[in-house]
Amino acid sequence: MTSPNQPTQPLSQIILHIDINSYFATMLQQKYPHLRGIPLGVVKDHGRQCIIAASKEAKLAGIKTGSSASDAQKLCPHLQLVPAEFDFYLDSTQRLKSLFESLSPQVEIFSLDEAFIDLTPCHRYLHPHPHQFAQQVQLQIQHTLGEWVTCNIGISYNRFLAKLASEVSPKGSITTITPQNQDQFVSQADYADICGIGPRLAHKLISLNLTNLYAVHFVSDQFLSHHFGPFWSVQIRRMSQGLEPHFFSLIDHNPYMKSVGRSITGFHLTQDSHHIKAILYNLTQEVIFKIRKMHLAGRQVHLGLYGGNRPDTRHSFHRHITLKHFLSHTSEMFYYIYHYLYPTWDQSFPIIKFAVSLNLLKPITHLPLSLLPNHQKSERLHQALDQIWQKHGLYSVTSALLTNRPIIHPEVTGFLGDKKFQFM
Amino acid sequence: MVTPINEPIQVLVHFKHARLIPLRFLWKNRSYHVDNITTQYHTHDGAIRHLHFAVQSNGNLYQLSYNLSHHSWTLTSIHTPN
Repeated sequence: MTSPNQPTQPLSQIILHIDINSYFATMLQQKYPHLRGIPLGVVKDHGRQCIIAASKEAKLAGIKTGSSASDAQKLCPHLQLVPAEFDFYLDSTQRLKSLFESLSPQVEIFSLDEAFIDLTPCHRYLHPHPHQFAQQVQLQIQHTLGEWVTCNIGISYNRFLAKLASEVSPKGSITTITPQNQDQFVSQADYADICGIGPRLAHKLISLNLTNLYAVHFVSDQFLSHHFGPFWSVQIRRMSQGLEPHFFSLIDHNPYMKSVGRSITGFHLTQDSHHIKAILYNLTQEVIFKIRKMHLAGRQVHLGLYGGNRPDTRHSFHRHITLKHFLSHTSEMFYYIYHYLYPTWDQSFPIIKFAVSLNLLKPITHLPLSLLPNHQKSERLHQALDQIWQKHGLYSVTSALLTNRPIIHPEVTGFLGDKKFQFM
Repeated sequence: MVTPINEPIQVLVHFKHARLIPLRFLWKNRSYHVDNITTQYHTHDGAIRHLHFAVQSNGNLYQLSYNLSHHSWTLTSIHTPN
């Protein structure tokens, strides 16, 4: 379905935002035709209770991402729970990336199911009609991923408005925001549809009687600065005027990842020290594998431990250490995680979720080489491990700590925070 | 219902426009005609790449996997409608 709202004047820049509808669920419905037309709740794995994505049919029944399976099944008794297939999603996104890059030289994969295509360089001669181009993109996506896959496409003169256009448009449609109609879209959009405004900021805006972004036009800069501070007052003003907030500039100016982390939520609460140690080592090894593959090293190590969701178990613990030197070895990072940060936790609650990260990353080419013999020896060992992992896969060789335990393998997230690693 | 199989199979394929298109597969001395390919995708484990196909035959869905390093086919699982 397409809406015929064509631009009345040519746009200075032409950006398309492509958003695949209900990606996780739709791709499973494409793969398993017997799931088509059925309300689906996608869970991370068999036995998991958090719905990480819902199909179009489930969304119509009121199922929202993040709801618990039991609540969702009360709302929609016919809801079918299916496990996510992350490898399948990632490969599909890589195929989409190849498709988009064949259409324009300027493509930005924004998340696993979203991308921006800058049509400006090929607008004049190759694709003079953006709406027709968008229709072709929809057809080519179906040709690439399958006939069940639909997408929204938003067209505008910047990424902020293009994304807004695709968020507010009906499933499978194309919507264009121009300077002439942008106020209409900005005034009618819910804050949930606006990229850059999270739930807390939306709540604060509404509490100040700014019920939509357009209402910001009617308050002064001093009012915004007083309530939102010097940074957010400027960002809110920019968004109300249809300009890209600072958030989008971060996409452009990060030549390498600043941080690599990994978290896992277990099936049950645990206080078993051997289990905790093995999980922390497992996660640390994945972080080191990724940063080494990207030729990075970091100097801030973070550990996060989380309790359950019930009021009596809802606790969290966070600690980090910022080092004077950069590290890129599993043994060294694990030392700081397990022997330095973990002992500072008072073990006051059982753990369900574990998180480790290595931050303040820099390319190793920007760093001086260590002359310490022990470090050089460890580096040679890691170089050998890198080669083995490259050939036989991560965890083909690992510590005895992980023997006879289920290994936590890398997986992609919907936000695709590690896209620089995934698309290397 | 999903039934894991993980058994080697023989597959007759059509190689067209640099793409493998399974036409028929032989499992336990029975030949299955591929009615439709619902999707295909790659995975890799280290340097070993696998090409996965979800194919329909007689109303059931079969997952076939082609190991691009060893050039071998595996029937991974069968999905039958509930």
